[in-house]
Amino acid sequence: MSTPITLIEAVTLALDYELGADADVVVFGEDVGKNGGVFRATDGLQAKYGEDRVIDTPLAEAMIVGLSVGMAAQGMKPVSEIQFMGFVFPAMNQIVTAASRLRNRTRGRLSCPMVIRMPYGGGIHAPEHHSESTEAMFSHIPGLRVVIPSNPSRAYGLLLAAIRNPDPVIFLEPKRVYRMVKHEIENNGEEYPLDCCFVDREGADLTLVSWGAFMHETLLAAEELAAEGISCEVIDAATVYPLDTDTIIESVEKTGRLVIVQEAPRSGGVGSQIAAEIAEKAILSLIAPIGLVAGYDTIMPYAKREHQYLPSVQRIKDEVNKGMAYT
Amino acid sequence: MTVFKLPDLGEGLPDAEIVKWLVKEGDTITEGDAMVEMSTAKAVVEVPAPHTGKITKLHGGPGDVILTGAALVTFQLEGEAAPKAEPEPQQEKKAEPKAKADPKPSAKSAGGEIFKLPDLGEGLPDAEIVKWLVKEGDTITEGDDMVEMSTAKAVVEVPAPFSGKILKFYGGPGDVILTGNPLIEIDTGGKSAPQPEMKPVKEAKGDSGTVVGAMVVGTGVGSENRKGSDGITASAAVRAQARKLKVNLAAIKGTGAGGAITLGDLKSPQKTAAPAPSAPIASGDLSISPSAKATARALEIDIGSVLPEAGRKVVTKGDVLRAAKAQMGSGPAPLSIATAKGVKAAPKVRALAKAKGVDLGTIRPSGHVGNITLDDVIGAGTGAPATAPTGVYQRPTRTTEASGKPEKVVGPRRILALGMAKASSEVCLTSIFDEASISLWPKGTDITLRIMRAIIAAAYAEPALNAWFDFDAMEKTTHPFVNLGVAVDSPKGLFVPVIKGADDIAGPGIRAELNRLRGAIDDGSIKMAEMSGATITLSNFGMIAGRFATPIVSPPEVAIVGIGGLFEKVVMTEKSIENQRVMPVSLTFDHRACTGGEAARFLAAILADLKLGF
Amino acid sequence: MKPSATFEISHLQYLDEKAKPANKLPAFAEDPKVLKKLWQDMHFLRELDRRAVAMQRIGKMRTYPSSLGQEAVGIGAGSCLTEKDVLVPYYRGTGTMIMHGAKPHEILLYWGGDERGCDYQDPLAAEDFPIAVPIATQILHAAGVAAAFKLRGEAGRAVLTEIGEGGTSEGEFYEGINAAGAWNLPMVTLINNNQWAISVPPELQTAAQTFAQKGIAAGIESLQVDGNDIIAVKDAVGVALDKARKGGGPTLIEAVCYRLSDHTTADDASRYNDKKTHDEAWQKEPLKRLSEYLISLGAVKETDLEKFLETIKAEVDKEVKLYLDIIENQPQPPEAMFDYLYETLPEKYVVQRDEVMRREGGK
Repeated sequence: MSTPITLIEAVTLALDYELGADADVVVFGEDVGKNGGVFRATDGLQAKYGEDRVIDTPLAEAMIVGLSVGMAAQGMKPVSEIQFMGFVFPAMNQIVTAASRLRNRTRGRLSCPMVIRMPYGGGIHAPEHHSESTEAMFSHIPGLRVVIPSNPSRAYGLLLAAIRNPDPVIFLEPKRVYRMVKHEIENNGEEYPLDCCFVDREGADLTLVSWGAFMHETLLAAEELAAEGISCEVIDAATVYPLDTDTIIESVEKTGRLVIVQEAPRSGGVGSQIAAEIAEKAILSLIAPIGLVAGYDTIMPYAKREHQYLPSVQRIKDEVNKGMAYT
Repeated sequence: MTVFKLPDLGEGLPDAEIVKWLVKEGDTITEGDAMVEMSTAKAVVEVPAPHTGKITKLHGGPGDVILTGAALVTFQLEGEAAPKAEPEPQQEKKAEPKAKADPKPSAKSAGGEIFKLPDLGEGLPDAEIVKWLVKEGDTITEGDDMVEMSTAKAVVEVPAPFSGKILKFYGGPGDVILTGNPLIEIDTGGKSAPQPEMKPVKEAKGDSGTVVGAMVVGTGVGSENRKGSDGITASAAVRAQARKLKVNLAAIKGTGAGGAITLGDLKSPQKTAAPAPSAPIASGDLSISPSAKATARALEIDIGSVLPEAGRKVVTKGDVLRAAKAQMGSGPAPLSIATAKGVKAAPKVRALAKAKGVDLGTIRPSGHVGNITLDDVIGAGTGAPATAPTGVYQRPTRTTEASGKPEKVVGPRRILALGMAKASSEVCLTSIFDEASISLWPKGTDITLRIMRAIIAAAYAEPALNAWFDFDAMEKTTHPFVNLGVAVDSPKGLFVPVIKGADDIAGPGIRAELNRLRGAIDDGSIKMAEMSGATITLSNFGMIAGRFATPIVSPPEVAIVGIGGLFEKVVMTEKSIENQRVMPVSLTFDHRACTGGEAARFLAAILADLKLGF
Repeated sequence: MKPSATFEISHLQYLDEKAKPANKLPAFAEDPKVLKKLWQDMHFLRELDRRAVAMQRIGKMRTYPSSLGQEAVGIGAGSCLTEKDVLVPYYRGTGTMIMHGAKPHEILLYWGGDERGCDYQDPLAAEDFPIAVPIATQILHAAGVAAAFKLRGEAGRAVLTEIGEGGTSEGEFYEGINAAGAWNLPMVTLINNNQWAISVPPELQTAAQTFAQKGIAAGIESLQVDGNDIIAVKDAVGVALDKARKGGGPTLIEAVCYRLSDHTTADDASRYNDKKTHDEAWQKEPLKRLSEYLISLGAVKETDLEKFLETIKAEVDKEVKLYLDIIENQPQPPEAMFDYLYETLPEKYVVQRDEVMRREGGK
C-alpha cells in the first residue's frame, strides 16, 4: 500500500497510470502542462510524458471540447480539462451537438471516447462563477455520461473507467473535497464500475442519497442520527447519468423513506429526477413523503454568504427527522 | 449576584431537563420574558425570567437534568457587582434519587482508546451503571461482557468493544452516563482502526495550487473497505460491481487486506471453501451471557443454535435477537401498525388502514403487483381471517419484553402511582352504573362528541358534580363553566388534557380541541396548564375493552364519568322485545362532597342527553 | 509610427468572367480530360440538387440546401482530396462530399431524415465527419482530426473543412483556425463566400474587407480565389493540402461566388435579394464559365450536350430511386433510435427501448 493521497492526487494518479498504459491518451487544457493545472491535477505529467501527451491549450473552451471531438473520432482518447464548471458554457455547443451525438448520427461509424474533467461545486469561498453545480444540464443530454467521485478511491477508479469508456464522459470533480480526506490507493489500474450507485452505509429507517462533496455532510449526518437512534442507509449516486435507480429503489423498499441531498439548486436537478423515478416505481413502499435538501432556487451568493446557501448537516438531519415523523 | 434556583414546576416533580435556552450568557432579560424550555415528566414548560437583569451564567445546557432547588441561572441585577469566578453550587440529593447525569467527563483521558456509550436502544439519552463485571487493570477481550447498564426500559449487558487492558472507568454503580459520552478507556496498543477524522485542518505548508478561494485541507485518512451486515468486508464499489455482474459475494474469497474482497477478486474469483461465511464453533468453546439466556428463554429460541457474530466467543443478547428475527422471517408477519415496512401499499391505502386500526401485516394483498388495495383494507376484519392455521395453537409473540428484573418507575407512571394512592386514601369513592340507549343515533355520529355533550348537559342540570371540594378548608366550589378533562392513553402513559370552557365551544370545535391536545401529547409539546384545572373528567375506556368500571376521582374534582364499550342488547319493553344499541355509563363520585341523589340526577341527565337521536 | 505587422490578401483567378485564361494555367488545367471530368461532376451536382429541391416540393424530401452557382467550390476542392485525407464538411458540402466517397443517395437519406445517410459505406469516407448543421462547430473538429495526425506523427495526411462566410462570425471559427495556427496543424479551411448568410450580405456580416484576412489574425497563410473559376479553386486547395501533408501547416482560402438558389428549400430569397445582381450572377456562374472554356477548346461539343445531360439525369435518377427505396421501403426499426446512443445501451434504457418496440411494432 502507498501513502494516503487526496482526491486531487488520485486524479493525477489515474491520469498518470492511463497515460502510461495507453498511447492514445492525451491530456490537454488551459494551464495543465507546465503549471500542472490550477489545482495541480496534472502536476508533473508533462515533465514525465512530454508536450505531445500533456498539452497547454489556448484559452478557448469550445476549442478544447471541439478538438476533443475531432481527436476522439480519430480513435484517440482525449482527456481534456475545463478549468471550472463555470467556464464550460462556451463549450456546451460542442458537448451537446457534437460529442453526445456523433456515434448516434453516424450509426456507430464514428464515436467519441473522450473525457471532459472539470472541478465543480461551491464551498471554497471562490469568486463568482467558480462555484457552479449544473450537473443537471449534462444529465439531460442523451449520449453523455456524468460521473461524480466523492472520495479519492472513487476518483481514481471512476476516472480510469471514464477514460476507458467508449463514449463521452463528463467527469465532475467536487473541488470542496479535493484535499479533505486521504485514502490509501493501490496504483493497480483497477477501474470502478460506471452506471452504479455505491452503498456507503447500511441502515433500516431511511435512505439518504447524495453525490459529490455533500456525501461528506450526508455521512456525518447519518453518524449523528445513529447516535440519536435513527439508522440511515447512505448511497452515493456516483454516476448521476445514467443513474442506477435500481439500487435506490431496493433501499427504499427496505426503509420506506428517502431523503436526497444535493448542493445544486432544487428545481430541475438530479434530485428531482430521482424523486420522480422513486415515485414512479416505489411509491407503494413509501411511508413518508420524499425529502429533498438542495441549494435554494437562487444564484449562489458570493463567498461571504455561501455557507447559508449550501446544505448543512443540520438541514439534512432536519429533513430526516421530518421523514421519521411519519410512522 | 443572584442565583435563581429551579422551582418545583408542578406536582412535586423532583427535577426537570433543559430542552432549549431561549437566551444566552451576557444577554439582558426582563422579568417575565421566556427564558428556557424545560421538560418535566409530563410536559414541556417555559420558565420565565424571575428578574430583570444581565444573565451571567447558565447552569447547564440542553439535555442536562437540573434538580428542583438547584441553581439554574445566575443574574447580575442592577446595582450588583460583576460576579467573580465561583465554584458550582452543590446539587441537592433527594430521598428518591433520580438519575444524576454528568454532562462532561470529569477527568482527562489516560492515553488509551476511549469507548463512548452507544445508544442502547431507541434513542435513549443515557443509561445508569448497575455493575461493572470487570475491574480497572483487568485485561479484557473484545466481546466479553463488561458492564451491566440500566436504561429506562431494561438492564443491558454491554460487551467490550475492543481487546486490551482496562485503563479507566468513567463512572461507578449508580452513575448515569449520557449516550455518546465516555464509558471506559482501554489500552489497545493502537491496534483498533481509527475513525476517520473529518475535522479539517489547514496545511501549514505545501503547494495547494493556483487556487481561487480557500480550500479546506484535511488530515483524516479514510478507507473504502467496510464490513457489511452480511459479514463480508468489501468496498461499496466492489458490492456495486458484484451486483452488476450478478456475482454472489459470499462465494468469493477476499484477497485484500483483512480478507476484503477486491475488484480483482471479482474478475478471477477464488471460491470460498464453504458457502457460508462463518464456520460453526463447537458449543463447548462458547460462553453465553445471562441476558442472552434470558432472552432466548423468553423468545423460545434454542440457545444452542445461536451463533455469535464472527470472531466473538460470547453469545450475547444481540445474537439471540438476530437469530429470532431470522427465524421469524418465515413465520407469521410481525405485529406492527398500519405502516409496516416491506409491505406494498399506496399512501392512501396506508392512511385508511391506520384510521381503521388495521394491521397491514395481516392482510393478504390482492393487488396486481402484490400490493394491498383499498378493498383489501375495507374488507379487513370481516369474513375469515387472512391466516387460518389448521387447528394448531400459537401463543401470541411478545410485543414488549418482560425483563424479569426490577425497574425504576419514572415519569408519568410515577406520577400516576403517587396520584392514585393519594386520591384513593382521601376520596370516598361511590359508583352508580347504568346503560344509555343510543339506538336513535344516526349513522356516522361522533361518539366522543356526544359523550362530552352529555356530560356538559348534566353539569348544567346538576352542577353539584361539576365542582371542586377542599376537605381541609371545608369548602366546595360549584363551577358555572365546564373544564372537561379527557383521559388519554398514550405510549408514554396516562395523560388527562383539559378542554377549557368546553360548554362554550360549539360541537365540532370540541373535537378539534381534543385532537389538538392529543397531538400535543404525542409530540411532547403539551403544557402543564393544558393538563390542569378540570372541573370533571371523562374516561372512555370502552374504546379498548370493558363495560362498567369505578374510575378514580381526582381531587379537587368530585366526579368522573366512565364510558364502556357499545354493545347490542335485547330489551323487553312493555309492548315487545327489541334489539337496542347500548352505551354503558359509570359514574364515580366523592361521597364527601355529593349526595347520592345529586349523583343519580347527574347520571339521569347524561342518559337523557345520550338517548337523543340528534 | 512604424507598422508592427502588415498584410496583403491575394486574389487568384485563372479563367476570367469571359471564360478566357487570365493567367498561365496550372499544370492540371492543361489537360482537357481533367477539366472535362470536373465539368461532368459539376453537372451531376447541379442535377442532384435540382432533383432534391423538386422532391422537397412534393413531400419526398425534407429541408434541403442547394449548391446552385457554387458547384466549383465543392467539386474543385473535393477533387484534391486523397484517400488518406479526412473531410469535415459543413451543411452545404454536397459537392466536396461526393468527391470523397459519400454516395449521393446517402446525402439524400440524411436530408430525408434518416441517420443511415451519415454512415458512409465507401472506405474513402470512412473517417469523414458527417454533415454539420450547427454553424462553425466543424472547424474545431477538423482541428482535432489534424491534431491527431500531428500527435501521432502521421505524415502525408491533411484535413479539409468548409464554412460559409457567415459562419466565420462564430467564435468557434476563430478558435479553430487559431488552434490550427498555434499548433501548425495540417488543415485547410475553405470559406464559401456565396454573398449570403440566409438574408444577410457580407457588408452586414463584418467590417473586414475580405473573409480570408481573418486568417491573418490567426497567423496562418490566407488567400482569396474566384469561386466561380474551378481551376482557381482546385489549384489553391490542391497546393494548400499538399503543403499541409508535407507539414507546412494550415491555410485559409476564401472562394468568392454567388448563391443562385434560396438558402434552403425553406427560404425565399426573392424577399431580400436584388434581382439585378442576381441576374448578373447568372452570367458569371461556374458551369457556364467552364462550359464556354471547354467548348472553346473543342473538348465539349454543344451538340453532345443534350445527350450528355440525359446521361447525367439517368445517373442522378438511379441515386434518387435508391434513396426513395431505402427511405420508404426499408425504414430503420423504431428501436434503432436507442441502438447507437452508447456503445452498450445502459440497462435502465432497455426498458424504454422495449416500450418503443412494443408500441411501434419493432422486431
